[in-house]
Amino acid sequence: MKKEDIQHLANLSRLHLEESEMQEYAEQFDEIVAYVDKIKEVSGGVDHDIQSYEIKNMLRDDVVKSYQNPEMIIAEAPSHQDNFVKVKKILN
Amino acid sequence: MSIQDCTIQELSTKLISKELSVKQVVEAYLSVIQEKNPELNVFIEIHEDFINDQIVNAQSRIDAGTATVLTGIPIAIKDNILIQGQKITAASKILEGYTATYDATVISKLKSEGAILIPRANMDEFAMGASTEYSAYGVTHNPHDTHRVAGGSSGGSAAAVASGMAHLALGSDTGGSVRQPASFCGVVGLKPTYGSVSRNGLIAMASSFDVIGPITKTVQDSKILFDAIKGIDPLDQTSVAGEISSEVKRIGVPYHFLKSGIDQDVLTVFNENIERLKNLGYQIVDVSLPSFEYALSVYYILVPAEVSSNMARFDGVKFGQKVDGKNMTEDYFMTRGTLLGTEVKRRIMLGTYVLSAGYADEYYRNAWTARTMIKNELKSVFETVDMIAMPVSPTPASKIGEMAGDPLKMYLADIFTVSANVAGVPAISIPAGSVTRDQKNLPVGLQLLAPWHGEERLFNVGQNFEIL
Repeated sequence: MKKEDIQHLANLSRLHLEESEMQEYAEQFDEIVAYVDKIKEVSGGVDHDIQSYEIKNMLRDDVVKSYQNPEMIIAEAPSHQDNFVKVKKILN
Repeated sequence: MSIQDCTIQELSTKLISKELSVKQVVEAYLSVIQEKNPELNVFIEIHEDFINDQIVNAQSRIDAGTATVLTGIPIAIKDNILIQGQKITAASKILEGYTATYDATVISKLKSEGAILIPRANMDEFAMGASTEYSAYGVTHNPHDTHRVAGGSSGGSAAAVASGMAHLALGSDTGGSVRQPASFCGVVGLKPTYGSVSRNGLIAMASSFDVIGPITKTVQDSKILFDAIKGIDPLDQTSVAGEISSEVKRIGVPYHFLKSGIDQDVLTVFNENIERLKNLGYQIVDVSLPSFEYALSVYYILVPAEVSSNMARFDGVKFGQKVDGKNMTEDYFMTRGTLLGTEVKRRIMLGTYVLSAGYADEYYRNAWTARTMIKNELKSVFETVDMIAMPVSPTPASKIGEMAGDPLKMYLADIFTVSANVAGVPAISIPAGSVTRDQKNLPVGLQLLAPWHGEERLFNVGQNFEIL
């Protein structure tokens, strides 16, 4: 994998990486991807159930409940004002 | 007998009979923390006021005659399980200063028992790692040899129980994170059936793999803690309950899977363990699980895929810390790039890679096919045997720094533990012997796997097997 490929993945993942990090990741990804490539031997013919055995979706009624303490949650945002989460301007 | 050597039952009896006060019990553990934590780095932080409040509550429950078996018993809590009003970081800089806004379901259950919760046990950042070397707050040292790792990701939880800093602990297991540190530290680690313990309030790593599990000194204690935390929870969409017979006669061993990549001394311990199981009257059967050779590939495709989605929420907007950039988008890049650690970034990008256009079919879809094959194969093997026995880790605890810069080597060490998570079946690690390295005896565990909801089988055989 080239450094540019890592840069592309970092962009998709919203990660700022230093040059040295990219070089290191590029080498490690080659090894890791070569290992998991074994999965390409697996051919279809088995249903994808995308669920574990005996796991069913647990559905519950969609009932609106009031939450008593929104301030506590807002207070955990790095930047907040008047019970709102604050971010930088998005539209010019 | 010291407080640390008691079982839950013995300690509870002493508390209820007033032979010991809750304060005396908790202080016995806190004094060990004070003495050994600077060297072992088991706890990232100790919340003294929170502990003192719990002591008062637990003692008044005992005095009022409403105590349960866990009332007053100190339990170390991994730093990824939420306790309302308490700081929590998942051992990451990105959550530094964050205070949990609600209780995890397992925490509510333990609070209702009057247990003494002791946050925050060290771990690999966001549970990604197998040694706690990826904690942003330093590595946890193994109590049996401080030059070696305690294992991971629940290394703090396992070392807390092994060193007498807590009577019990909660960890989380996505690919071995309870069983492997338990094996390295010489304690019992249970990875329950997927969905049997609520994930509500566990900081998610890979949602179709994660499960919270107990770390204890004995199998009986493991059962007590598991019974206290399990159960259906409407707040976890994959919550599930069930029961199967606890009877075990035939134990399968996939010998074909043990032919290479395993330390000879660890293999010797395992073979002795199998002899011991035979002497206890169990019939040992050679079983074939050919799909297991894909388990690690399945794991290191699907887990990073789920990680890349789950970690998207850490964007510097809603939680914890933020690093400023020139605009909103740069805030994201700087916050995540600067405050997330090496392994977390590696897994986010690996997950992004296996999910990206052109690769998703080759990797992600094939991994799900193989996951289904593994589950089907286990299901049919469990029609001929009641349980499967395997080693926990192919090696004893590594030296600190030994795996540095070689993530594939670290991933390969998960070979025996990931299958249980891939399939969702329960598995336990029980102290099973030791190997000698640098004149130190390093613990080695035996792993037992049962069919879905077969925890009672693990406890049943585990109690017969363990040497107390």
